[in-house]
Amino acid sequence: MQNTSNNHKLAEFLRVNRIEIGVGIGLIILFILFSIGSPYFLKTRNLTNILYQVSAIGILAVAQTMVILTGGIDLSIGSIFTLSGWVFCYLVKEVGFTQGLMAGLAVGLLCGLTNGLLIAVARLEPFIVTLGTMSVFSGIVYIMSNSKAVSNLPVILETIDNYRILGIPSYVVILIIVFVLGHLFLTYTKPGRMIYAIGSNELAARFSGVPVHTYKMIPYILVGFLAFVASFVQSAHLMAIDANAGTNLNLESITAVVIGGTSLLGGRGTLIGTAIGVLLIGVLGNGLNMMSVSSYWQRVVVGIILIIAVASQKITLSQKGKTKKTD
Amino acid sequence: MAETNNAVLLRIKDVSKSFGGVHALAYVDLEFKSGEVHCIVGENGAGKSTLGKIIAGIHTPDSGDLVFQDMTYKELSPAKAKELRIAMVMQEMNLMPHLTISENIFMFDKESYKGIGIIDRKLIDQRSEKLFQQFHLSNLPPVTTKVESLTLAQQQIVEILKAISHKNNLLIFDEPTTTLSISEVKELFNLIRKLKQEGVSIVLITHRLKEVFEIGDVVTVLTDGKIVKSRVPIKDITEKDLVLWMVGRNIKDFFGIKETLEIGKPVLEVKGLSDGIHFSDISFSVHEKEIIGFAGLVGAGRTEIMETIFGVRKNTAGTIELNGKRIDHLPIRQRVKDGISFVPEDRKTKGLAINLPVSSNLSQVDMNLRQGLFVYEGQYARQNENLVKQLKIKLGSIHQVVNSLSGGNQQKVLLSKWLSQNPSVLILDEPTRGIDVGTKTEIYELIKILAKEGKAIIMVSSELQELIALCDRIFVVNEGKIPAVFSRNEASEPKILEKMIPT
Repeated sequence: MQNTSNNHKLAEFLRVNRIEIGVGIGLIILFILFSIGSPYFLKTRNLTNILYQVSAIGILAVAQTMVILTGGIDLSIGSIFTLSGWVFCYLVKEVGFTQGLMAGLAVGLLCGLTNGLLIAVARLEPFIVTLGTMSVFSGIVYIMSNSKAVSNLPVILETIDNYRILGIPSYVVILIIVFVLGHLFLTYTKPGRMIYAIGSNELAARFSGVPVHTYKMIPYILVGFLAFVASFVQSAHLMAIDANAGTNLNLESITAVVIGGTSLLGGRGTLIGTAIGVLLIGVLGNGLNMMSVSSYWQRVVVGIILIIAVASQKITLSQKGKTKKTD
Repeated sequence: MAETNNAVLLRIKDVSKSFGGVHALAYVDLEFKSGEVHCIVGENGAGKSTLGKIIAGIHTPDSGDLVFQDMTYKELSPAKAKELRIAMVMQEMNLMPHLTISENIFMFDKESYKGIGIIDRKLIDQRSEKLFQQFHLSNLPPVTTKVESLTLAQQQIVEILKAISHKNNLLIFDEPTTTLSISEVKELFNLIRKLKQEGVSIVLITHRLKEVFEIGDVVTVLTDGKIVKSRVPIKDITEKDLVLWMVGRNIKDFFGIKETLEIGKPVLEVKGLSDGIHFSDISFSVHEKEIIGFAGLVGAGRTEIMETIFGVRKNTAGTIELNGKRIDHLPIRQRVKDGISFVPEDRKTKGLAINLPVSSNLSQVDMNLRQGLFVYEGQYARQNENLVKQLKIKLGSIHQVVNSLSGGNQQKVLLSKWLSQNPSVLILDEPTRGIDVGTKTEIYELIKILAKEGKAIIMVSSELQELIALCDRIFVVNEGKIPAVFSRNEASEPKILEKMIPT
């Protein structure tokens, strides 16, 4: 008896998490292929490097997942990354670390709040709002920076970047903390559960008395916060920031989330899926580098992987619909 | 009548179709002849619309054949149906609101375009005007009017014109009269008679039995997706026969009349409620242990009234009092806390998050009302288990997504979601729409038990028999007003219908 109920539980687990498992298998296959293809791939140094390469995009993808779960989208995430990071770096260099930290954080939150208010209070389409603010925020960076990078940052940033906890680099620790807290937030808090409810059926949530628009603001504000965290991690590592730092991150964060199995329609997806999606993109980029594939070709490959991932998810979901109908 | 001499145009053989594990149609075998009006009757959810949609190529049958003239098809597509000259006037509108009447009628015709595909407005406008004249539709606005500015009844007429603008072999009407006024219904029936004379095979899906006797030649009765009576000539039967076949037993047994209870103190009092658009000056009250019903046509304003009481819509005038406390300025959350639960009419759009598990849906209301930040779905496990048991919801696991359940079980999940709040007023908007007969009786029983426990219940329904059997008082809503209230002893179907129809 115990055994059959365990089998049942396992079957249920596999069914509920089939997309995450599918993407996970894809990741493992890539891992094996690259470790055969290049002798350096599995070296600790390289693996740490992969984790650094995905740290900024990973932190952003956590926030982007929450936005997409509500059925929205945030196209301005990379612009907030650059704007808050630039303000932070500039002030750290010119005024002081604490002042820079506070100002960068405030800028990030303010940007997120702007998006949130326009979407939740003015009831504008998230796509339009963030398309607009993407342009506004990055425009402000160009005006302030005059397109010049801020470099030669104080040593304190290098110290933070090199700091290790139990031998694990600080940026990896931050990445893991963000994922774990994000996952707990989505699973065990009221706003987290309401994000799923709203994304799955906003009207039904409203008919359940959920103050839909209040909850819809939260993910955008989290984008503001986490965009700054990501920017902090990256500028500490590079010891510089320039006005183009976040340009590609707007769309890359969405790519990672979608590969991880989160539905752009909202309501479906997990941060576990997103974590796998982020790692998949990181491993792919790193592995292709090792095998001397040009970055132009890498773009082609990432695009194809995205389409394959979504297509296979669609097939998995509709197959399940078919079996349901016949029983 | 035309029973013997006319040729069989379409025969469906052993056709079955199920949705999410529920049989909508099971091994249906039926013939349709040219030049006859074939009525299909049955309860909501009996499979009438599914049958129509299979013939029109919108649904694909799971098994069985369709034999049209001499050709056998496994399934039809909308394009194939058009080729065979089969058209369907749907229950739900399929019009494009931002286009004109004539564009809506003719935009899918090849002849409406000249050269490389430029629309010939003059031609389609002329053809539409000709249709208007042909069917004496002088009270419709000009053919260049955009459909969005038409009333629901006018839109329905456009939908019908769209279907009959071609020369059809077979024409299916799915509940065409629900939104029409008496004179418009007359017009439509004249039209149908004319088409019949021209040799068109007409399929009329309806739940209004009077219509069957007014215009039908033969009638087929469906129950739970199965044929109970096939092609019975109308002249041989009475309305009573039909009802008996539809319900399968005596109506009174089926609904189980509510016993008269000692009615308690008033719970909800509505005075002079208006929203400035859909209804005005609505007043009524409901007491403990009382069930009151709201009858009316689609679009009469019943749903809007209930949604305003619940707080999804705002009122412009009037007051709502719950247990003596004014609630009309409060947010929904607070009203729910104070004791109102509202089970909306459309479970898939307003009621449930169908892609989330049953457990998440059941705990949603409560979770939203909780203080504090942290919640854990597991903490609702016992409560959810009890609800599933109490309402006998059939499911494999509480973690199953709602979409994989049958309509009846989805409806039970929706009811449980709100019963978990132990409300003092329960508003039910069309609680039995689109569910099987078995579940219906269970829901009737449940409603009666809840009333007995002391809850005040408001029930909106389009099934008059259901209201007559269950309600202590029935309010009729007509164009946003309440022209009549019937007590249990006074209420009868003809009396209520008379007050429902706009004059």
